[in-house]
Amino acid sequence: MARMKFICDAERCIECNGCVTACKAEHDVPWGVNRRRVVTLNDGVAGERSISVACMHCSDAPCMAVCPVDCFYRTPEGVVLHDKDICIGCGYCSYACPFGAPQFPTNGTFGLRGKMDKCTFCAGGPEANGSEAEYEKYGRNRLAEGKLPACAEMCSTKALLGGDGDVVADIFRTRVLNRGKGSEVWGWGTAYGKPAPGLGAQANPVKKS
Amino acid sequence: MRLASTGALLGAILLNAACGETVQTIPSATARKADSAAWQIKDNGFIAPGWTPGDQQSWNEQLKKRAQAQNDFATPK
Repeated sequence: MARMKFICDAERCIECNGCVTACKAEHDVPWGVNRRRVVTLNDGVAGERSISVACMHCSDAPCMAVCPVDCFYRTPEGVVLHDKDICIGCGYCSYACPFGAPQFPTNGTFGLRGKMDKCTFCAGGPEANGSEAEYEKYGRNRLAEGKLPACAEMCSTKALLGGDGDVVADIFRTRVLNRGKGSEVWGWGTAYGKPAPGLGAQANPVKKS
Repeated sequence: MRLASTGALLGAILLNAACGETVQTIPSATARKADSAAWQIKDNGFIAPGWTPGDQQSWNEQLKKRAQAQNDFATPK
């Protein structure tokens, strides 16, 4: 069984915001809600890095733990989804999430906070796969259509990788070994736990004399 | 005297009511809905070619193949 994960390669991200646009367009995400965004560290300074951030579909998701109405669930593929019919828009998940993934649309004259919206790994929600109701509430279910998330598939430099954790980790490892640097995978430790010592790609391995 | 003791008893019951335990299970009417398997989909006109909808094995292969499209070190087949 696949375990879906995202990897953002900070060595490759050029801050084009193609992933953000792809997500917005694919799911008809309303104004003011950003399921994905690009964050730049040390902007304008030599060595600046950009990272595409969205819900990482954590192994031990803090949003699931704090939700007072238990609207979250995890699919067998490891995708963290939620039921918008149950969500009360309290915002607890927003405080718990280390990635700032939960978004809240504002409605009406007084800007009332609506039900939470977040990245679904393009896997929809608890409605019939590919149905109109699913599209209206959660956006397109690309996974059920045999596709991967639009953001990752649209990425021009392939900085953002999405798919089965083993496959995307292999792709990333090959890159790191070829270029000999940039082995840091931003957010992976927080989302999926720290890797066991001795595992994973190592750039510029230290030679023992 | 009897009235006073009845009143005291009722008062004690009312005061203790706050210490009671209420049922905290989520009623089924407000519980979240079950989701269907990721490879189950009716044709909506957007299904990617090359796999059989409803077949888990075929779906797994499709996603693996699709993920390799992100690998620019892969040998083209």
